[in-house]
Amino acid sequence: MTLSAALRTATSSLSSTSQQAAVTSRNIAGIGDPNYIRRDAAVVTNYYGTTRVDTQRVVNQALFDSSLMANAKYAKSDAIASSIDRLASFQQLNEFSNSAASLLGELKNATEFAAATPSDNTTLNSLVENARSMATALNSSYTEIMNTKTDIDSAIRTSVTNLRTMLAQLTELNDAIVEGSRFGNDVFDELDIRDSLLNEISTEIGINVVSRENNDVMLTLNNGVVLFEKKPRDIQFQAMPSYGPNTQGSNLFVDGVPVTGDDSRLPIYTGAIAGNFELRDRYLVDQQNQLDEIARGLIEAYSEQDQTGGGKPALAGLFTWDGGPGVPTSGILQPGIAGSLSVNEIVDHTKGGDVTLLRDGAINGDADYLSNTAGGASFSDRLYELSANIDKGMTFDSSSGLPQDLTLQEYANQSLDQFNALRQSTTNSREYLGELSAGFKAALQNENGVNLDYEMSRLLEIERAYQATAKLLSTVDEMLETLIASI
Amino acid sequence: MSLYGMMRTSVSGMNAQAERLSTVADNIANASTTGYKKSTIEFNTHVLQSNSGMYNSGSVNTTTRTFVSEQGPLRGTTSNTDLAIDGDGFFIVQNGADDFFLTRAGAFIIDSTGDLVNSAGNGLMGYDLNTTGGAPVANGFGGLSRINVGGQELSAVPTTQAQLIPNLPSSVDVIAAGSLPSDNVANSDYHGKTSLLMYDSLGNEKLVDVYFAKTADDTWEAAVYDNDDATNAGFPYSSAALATQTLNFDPTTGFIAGGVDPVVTFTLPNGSSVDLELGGISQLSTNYTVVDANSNGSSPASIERVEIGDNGIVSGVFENGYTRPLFQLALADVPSTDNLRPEPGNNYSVTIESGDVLVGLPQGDSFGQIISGALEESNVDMASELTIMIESQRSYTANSKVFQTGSDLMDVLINLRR
Repeated sequence: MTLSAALRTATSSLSSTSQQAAVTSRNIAGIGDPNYIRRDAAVVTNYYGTTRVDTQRVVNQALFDSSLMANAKYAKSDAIASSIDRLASFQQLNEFSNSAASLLGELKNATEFAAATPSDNTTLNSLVENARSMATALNSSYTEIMNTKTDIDSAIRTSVTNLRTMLAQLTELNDAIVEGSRFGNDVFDELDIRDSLLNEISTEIGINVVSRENNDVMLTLNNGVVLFEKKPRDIQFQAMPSYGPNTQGSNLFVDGVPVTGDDSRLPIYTGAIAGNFELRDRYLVDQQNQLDEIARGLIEAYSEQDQTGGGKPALAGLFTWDGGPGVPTSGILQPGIAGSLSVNEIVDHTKGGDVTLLRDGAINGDADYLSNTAGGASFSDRLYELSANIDKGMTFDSSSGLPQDLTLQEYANQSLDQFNALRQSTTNSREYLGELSAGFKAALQNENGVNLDYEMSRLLEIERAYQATAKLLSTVDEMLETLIASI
Repeated sequence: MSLYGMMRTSVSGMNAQAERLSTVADNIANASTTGYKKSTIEFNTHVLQSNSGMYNSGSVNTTTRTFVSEQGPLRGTTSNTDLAIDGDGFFIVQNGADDFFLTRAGAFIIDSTGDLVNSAGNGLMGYDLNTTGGAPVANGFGGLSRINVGGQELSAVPTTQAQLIPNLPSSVDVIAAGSLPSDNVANSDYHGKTSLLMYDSLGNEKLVDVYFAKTADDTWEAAVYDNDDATNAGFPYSSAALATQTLNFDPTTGFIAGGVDPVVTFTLPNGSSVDLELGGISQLSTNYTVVDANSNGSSPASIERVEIGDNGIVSGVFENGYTRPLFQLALADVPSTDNLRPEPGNNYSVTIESGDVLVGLPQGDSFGQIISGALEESNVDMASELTIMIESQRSYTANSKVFQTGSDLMDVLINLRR
């Protein structure tokens, strides 16, 4: 090769090294950014000994996909665990720490205490007070569940709005990336932003990323329903302004497909939205049903029967509800009863009631229901019967998620156990998935992020290459100088 | 005749070296001119009749040689309308007076009228693919027109092809006839749905819903609907399915039985016929998953930039990414390239010595390929030019010494008679 060619090669080499230095400095600048993916500047030989720099953004797609999945799973367990925690702390805050189960024990004790001294109105009064706290506890727990459901709906609505906003951003970003890639422009920064956006989207709803030509992406949910393909798909959700006992929450529709609900063929599994739906439609429904069953069990246990054998229907006793004085059908779930459970005013001394009716029976004024026919002030059979009822086998509705044949106390205990177990398992899985997700992020960062040691040694290499090229230039220059001087 | 002869010979030597220095001057001046080919001087002897007793000194003749056929080094640039030819051939350009020239200088830019012109102001020629098929007229410049990328209208491309590779969940329950997607009733059920964005003839976005439902073991139904007809983005649709197709799977492999990739063909409303390729579709025991999905077509867009391929096809790249071939760039060559006559503006014109022009396409039999984003530098090497200069200078001085010696001898001769 000739001197002129040597000069040209040196020039292109200089420009290559300075481009490499630019890439390395961009890498070093991105060191604190968790979404920054390292750029690799490779020198490629061009025509006739010249070189050019080919910059690549190396990302481990499989690891990224796994990281998105772990993120979505964590978001789901986090959504569930936070709401369960909220319910649990609500109970602790209001000193219902042991909830229905322990209150039921106290109620039983109060009933037995009253039975021991049936002539003493003070013990009967305290039985009524116990009953009141029981009813209040059930009422407020029930209201709390309804409020939680309403809040979950608004959380889902916020998530959906958020999702729509993010998908709109993604559309713009993706269009820019596809156009840029098509024209061979540098779209690495946009790719970084898009990756972090995908991460945020996966927090709301689990996604699969399908990579296409020109760095285009298509997002599908875990069930194959399209969320984004060139344009975002329609997401529909109707939040309920408030929840009553029989309110059926609406489902989430993505691209016209119902992706939540029992009869959905294509349900979603991960992401905060999936977690909120699982809570609303499963765990909270179980909790709600169990409270209803405990309330119904209480009314049934304290109800009064026809003592004459005439077969009249049972009537509400110490506890009543908005359907009183009748007693709800045994073994059938009565939605909302935990919300309307109250202490019967007829026996409530604070409301002008007569507590002794508890001892004697016939609260509702029908003499056929009278147990204390002799009218003795120390009659205790009725009160003992009531306390025994709590430990008597009952039939519960199977839809509450607990066994059907239990005593009221057992039922309340199992309900508590189930809640505690749920709380334990969701807290554990949140912790575990949180670590897993963080682990994936760290792995991604380790593999694709910037390593300062490497970048610094790279910088030294570049510096040396630059010096060598500059030396080459000055040598060629000297040679030409010599030649010109000899003319 | 000895002394006079010697003086004439040295004059011719000095003239020859002056010629040579002129080429060196030109070469050095144009060392950085794109597409410049160096010139050199070849010397040949002019011998006078001599016999054994007497030597008649002759003179030296010069012939100019231009190294047109020697490829100059290519230098990468950042403009993709900078073109270089890697191999044989010349760009065909036309000056303001509509004369054709050949050139290797490919620093083209798009001028205000949309023509591709090089730094000398000459327009690049090619075949218009809108009006001709791009086949060259081998022996002349007929059919060529100026490559003009201005005034390209908006372009919308209807979708003609789409691809969808899903996995269908093999273990799901069969959906009973009467509530299949093809039945198009409110309670039509399905095991998978994917919507794809397509474009009609006017470039409107059309969402197409593709449903899959299992009708029997290893048998599935695919149904395609226009999302515009949907009720709340789902069933029932106000018009029947655009297409339905039965897919039979091989129970042992989970892929399509018979190995023929299924294609669902339907006509997009107000659009063209679309082939939805389902090649690679599988029926395995996992969830409904989309492995890949794609469709062509684009919304209306104006031209964004020009791209020139190795084969010399000048394409307009539209904002939506669609690429449309506009021109076919033509190359020309002559049998004796070194005999082309250099013209101003890095141009060469065809001469009788060079032979007749042959027009062809890049990457053709005797033509090189087009490299976009590169320029051919001059093939001048500074060091050899400087060496030649020193050599010529010394030769010239030597010749002048010969002349001086002759002149001195003449002096001596004249002074013999006093």
